[in-house]
Amino acid sequence: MEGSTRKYPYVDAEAMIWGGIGASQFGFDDSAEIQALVIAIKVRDPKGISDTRLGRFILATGSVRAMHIDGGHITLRARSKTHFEVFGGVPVDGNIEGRKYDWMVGGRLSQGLGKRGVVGASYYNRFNAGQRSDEEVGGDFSLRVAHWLDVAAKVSWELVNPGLAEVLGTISAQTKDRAIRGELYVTKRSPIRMLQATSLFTVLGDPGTLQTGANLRWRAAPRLDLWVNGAVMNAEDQYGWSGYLRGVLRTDDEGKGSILGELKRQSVSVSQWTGIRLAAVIPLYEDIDTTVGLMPEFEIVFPDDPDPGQGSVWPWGRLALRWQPGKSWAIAAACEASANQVQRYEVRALARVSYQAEWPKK
Amino acid sequence: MTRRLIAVVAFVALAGFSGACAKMLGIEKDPQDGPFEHRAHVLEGINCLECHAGIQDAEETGPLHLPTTQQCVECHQDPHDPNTCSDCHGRARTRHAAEMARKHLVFSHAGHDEAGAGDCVRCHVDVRHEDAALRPNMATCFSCHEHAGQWDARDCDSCHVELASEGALPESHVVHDGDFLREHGVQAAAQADLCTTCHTQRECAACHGITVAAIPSRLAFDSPMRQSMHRANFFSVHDMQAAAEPGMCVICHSELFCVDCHTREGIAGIDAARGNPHPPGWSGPPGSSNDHGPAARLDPVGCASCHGGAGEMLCVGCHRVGGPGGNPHPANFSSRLDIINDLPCRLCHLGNL
Repeated sequence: MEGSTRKYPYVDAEAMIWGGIGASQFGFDDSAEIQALVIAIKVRDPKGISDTRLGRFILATGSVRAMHIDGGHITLRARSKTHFEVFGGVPVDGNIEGRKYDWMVGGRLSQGLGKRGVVGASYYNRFNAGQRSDEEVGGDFSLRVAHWLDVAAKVSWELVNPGLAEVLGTISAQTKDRAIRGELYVTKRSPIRMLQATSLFTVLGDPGTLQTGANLRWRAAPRLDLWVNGAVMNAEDQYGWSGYLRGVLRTDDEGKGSILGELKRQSVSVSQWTGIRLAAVIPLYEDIDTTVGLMPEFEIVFPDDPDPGQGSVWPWGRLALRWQPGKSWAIAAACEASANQVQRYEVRALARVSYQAEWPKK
Repeated sequence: MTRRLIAVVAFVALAGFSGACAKMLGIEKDPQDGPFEHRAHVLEGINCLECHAGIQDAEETGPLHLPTTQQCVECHQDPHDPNTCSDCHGRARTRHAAEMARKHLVFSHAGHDEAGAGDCVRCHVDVRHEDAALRPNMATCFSCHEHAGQWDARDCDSCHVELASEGALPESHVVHDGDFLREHGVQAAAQADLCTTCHTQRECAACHGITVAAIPSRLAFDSPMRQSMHRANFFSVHDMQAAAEPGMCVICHSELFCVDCHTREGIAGIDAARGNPHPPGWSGPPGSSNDHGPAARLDPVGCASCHGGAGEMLCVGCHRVGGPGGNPHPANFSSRLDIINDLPCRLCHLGNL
């Protein structure tokens, strides 16, 4: 169940809460769970001098990597376009993390450059098991150098085991009619500095991972987009590469129907595989209120060196049907089947029923 | 004769195929799908207010002040067609866009002095050059001091009604194009408060949340064109992706996530049927090949994915100070942790050794 409201310009509130129960007869965990993904309220000064977010939310600012916390985030803006941020709270303990944290706190100082962009510096400190687990300083910027050129980067430096934790950089450019857009990027991460400092494996030194590459999107025809991507990668002290070719054809001007084809190859370290993916959105019926669509999706992975007994081809396919009888209701069902390195075959049925109500303000 | 016939048939088939392709690709346009000839009117010196009468006084609501056929025939006294002019001149989607702008923007022509003076091209700059571009982009708005200030204060709501539900993509800033899934993190880093003017926390948490009910490709299984970090069938390549980009995984997942899941699924390293997953010579007494050492330096997260947490004691058994294992620290190792009190130092450095 999710909901949100915005009382211009002072308050935003939103929540998303879900519950689930396992059914052991279908092979699931026999457990019940209720979780809050988001419960947050944001209070804003009407002139934009400050805003404050409280509750459970995703904290992501500056070189601080996205973090799910129960806490607060305050931003103050000076007339000089200087922004001050402070944040802190308890990192959420959930079902995909695996380790708990005690608390975190940090801040960021940034300088706006008008419509040209922002430059900033940040710091955060995270505790685990009663001791310092992560402590990082970092810098970041996002600049619109020209109307066709964007440049952005962020760097973070770990202080507990001193060294570079992460560098991300991107330069993107596009033609005026946006028929072509290209991007150069670089990513360097230190895996041991991403681990909690309480882990024994942080003493082993940093193997580092690097990825640098480029991608290009070309609108070859009004309804046809083509992508090409290529990157050089370094992992486990070996260099390799990855890349893909992708095409999307819209079957109508509004893009209600579309067909996707993709060929992907990765060849670095022990990750050696080729994949082919096909997908489509096929509108079956449409009138003023009702739409019905069919969504087939298929992928096949060819691993170069599968272990014995894992098979040499891993296919996966899904066929979904969606019926929207009006603006509020949406009903969808799907069947998917796959064979992979773990399961010789697996078949799943999926269904989703949703209802959305809205109270417009204008 | 036969060859000529084949050539003609082939030509006709090729022409038909090309025509079908052109239509399918959107290259062949409907002849009635042309933009309104604004530029021709501007070059004739016709003031905008002659056709869009009353627009200079238009408030936030009310009619769009688009010209009617009656207004057109005041000048075009001998129309070539008895139908409504706007059926062919001007695109339906342009008029629809104007309706959407009325719905999603807090905007009043009456509040802009240029409108009253008939100086429309001050904002609608591209009308002089091309027919299709009518609405000013945001960069034009920022040429006024007031709007530039609103931008700096992230006061988007002063002009936009419910950006979060509007679903429009920015055209002149933080362009969401190309592989934006890969790019969005570094773009959002510097201007996260700008992102939140459109995007709700639920959108961020759908991928970055620790307590998600299901990953987006599973929850939105009827949106196959949607890009996501773990797209459908990611499971097939997850182990290879982890080897290729171990730093990527541990941003969100701790190393214990792997062993938790593998244990739950019954595919953890050691079991009665599979035995030890490591090859012979992996570990042994001092002097043996002990392949695990170099392997651990190349992929420490891979080791931690099974031997993390309580499993670390397996390493400590040999590598504690005074134990038979060697010094695991690299030559340039440094740490600000307290060797006596902090983990993991205290596991091996017993008694301040």
